Amino acid sequence: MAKPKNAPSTFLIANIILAMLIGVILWFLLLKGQDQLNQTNVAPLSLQGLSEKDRKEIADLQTQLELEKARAEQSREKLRARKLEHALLAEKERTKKTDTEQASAPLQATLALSNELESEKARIKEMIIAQMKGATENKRLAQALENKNQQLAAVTQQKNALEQRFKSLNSDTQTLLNSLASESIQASDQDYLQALQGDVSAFLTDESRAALTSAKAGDVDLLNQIEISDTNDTSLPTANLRAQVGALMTQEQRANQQKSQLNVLVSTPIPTPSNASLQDRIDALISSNAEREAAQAAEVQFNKDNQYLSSLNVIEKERENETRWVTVREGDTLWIIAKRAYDDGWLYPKIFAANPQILSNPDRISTGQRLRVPL
Amino acid sequence: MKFLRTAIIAFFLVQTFAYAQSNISNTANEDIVVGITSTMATANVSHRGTPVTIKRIQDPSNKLVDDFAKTSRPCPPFCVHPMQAASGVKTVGELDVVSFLQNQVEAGSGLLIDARMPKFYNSETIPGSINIPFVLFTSSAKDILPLLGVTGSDGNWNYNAAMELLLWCNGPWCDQSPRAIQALVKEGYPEAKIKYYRGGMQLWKIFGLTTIQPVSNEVGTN
Repeated sequence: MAKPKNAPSTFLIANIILAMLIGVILWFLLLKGQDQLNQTNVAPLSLQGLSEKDRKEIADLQTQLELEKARAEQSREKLRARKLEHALLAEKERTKKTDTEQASAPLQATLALSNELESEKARIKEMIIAQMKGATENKRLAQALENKNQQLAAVTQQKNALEQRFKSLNSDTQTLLNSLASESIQASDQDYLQALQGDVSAFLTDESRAALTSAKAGDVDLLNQIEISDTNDTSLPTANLRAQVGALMTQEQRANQQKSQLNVLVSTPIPTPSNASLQDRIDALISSNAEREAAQAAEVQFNKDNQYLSSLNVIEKERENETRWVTVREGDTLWIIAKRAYDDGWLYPKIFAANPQILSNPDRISTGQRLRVPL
Repeated sequence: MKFLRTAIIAFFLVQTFAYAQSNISNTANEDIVVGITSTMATANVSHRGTPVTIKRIQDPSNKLVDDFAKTSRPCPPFCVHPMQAASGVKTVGELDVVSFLQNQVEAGSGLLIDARMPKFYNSETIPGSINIPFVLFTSSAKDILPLLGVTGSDGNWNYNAAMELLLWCNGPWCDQSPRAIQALVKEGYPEAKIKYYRGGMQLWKIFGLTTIQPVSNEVGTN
């Protein structure tokens, strides 16, 4: 498996060993030289039996030795002086340092200010996070809107069913009129009846449609439900709707009454029909609700964002997995790193594959190096 | 003999110092073989007050091996995007981003906005960027606008002191910054004050330009 080799540190160690080796050899040689010198000193000088020339030479050497000793003494003096000088310098340095510490007080203040700024930044970040939480609230509102839309759809469906019923009832009326016409009726009444038939048709077209559209008490219940869920929402004109239903209920009763009157062919004054058909009114009701439209547009945007966000989650996770990394420690091998990053040493080739620019050779990783370890 | 002993120690120290010195000079005077332009080897910018040198990866044999090496992602939603994010909003390139950082951002009159979701930003971003996820522009514009130097209130914004914005995301296949830009334009933000870096992280990385990781994703540290 891979072994960590650090080329620069090998170079350094080699240098150190070389230097130490040279040092030891020189030291050894020096010690040897001094031993020889000591041995020479130990043997007392015997002047007997020496020639005049030798004696003179020895005397000269002794004089020289004295001179050397004097010079050595001088050197020691110099050394002492230099030591004192060093001590003085060190003292100066210490004093200077104390001064610098005193001077750094304004710097400390600046640092404190910078820390304060950092915490302010953190506060703003928290604010942004809080705003993101606001998005969840929007989602809840969009859900409420969706519920209302479903209720509206239910009402529209009810309306369509009622229109269907109106059609069938209208044909019932026609049948009734036909049967009435077929009965023996006084000739003087025939013309009036014919004329009446036209008016009644027209009346029924508006009046009975209105009646049938609102028809059942069940509709009122539905509208009540809508109102309950809308108590805080002024965007839906529920009150209007309820008033309309009330009016329509009355109209239904009137239509029924009219129908029974028709059965006995009593000519009564015909009330003026309302000009706007129910369809028109419902259309107006839906299209006049600008706020609802805006809310629907917002909902569409929200759904669009939401779908996009769920797609984003996938590549977001992938990005996060791709940017994992480890630092190579002293004594690490790819196996150890794989064990640390993936909990499985056998996955070491994955690290090799993820770091082609660094690992030209799997045996070469160095301490402190950053390696990608994607999942 | 004492002199020789000192000499050996000195030799030692000089060697060590020379080695350290050679290391320092290696990093300081690194030869730029892959510059940004022929006249700009590197560019100095700052990220939240910390100096960052933008340079390109210096190994000419380097290739992308992460998810940015991908050619294909499902479309929709990761489709090829038009050149413009919104009419009147200028589309810019890498050099404009660097110059924007060194001028507008440095002077405090502009913001380089990473409009991606926070996980993308935390994993890797362009130095000098701040993170405002696009959903904040589409859902809470009225809370975000005051942070961009806009005064007034919802429905009655005053954009006179509004900052210049340069928005970017994952690249020409990413819809996050276009959505943010469209939401800003819808709110009435002056188009002349918005710029769109379409290349995004995709092109920044393909050029080997310096990126930073705002939140460390180091594993196995314990």
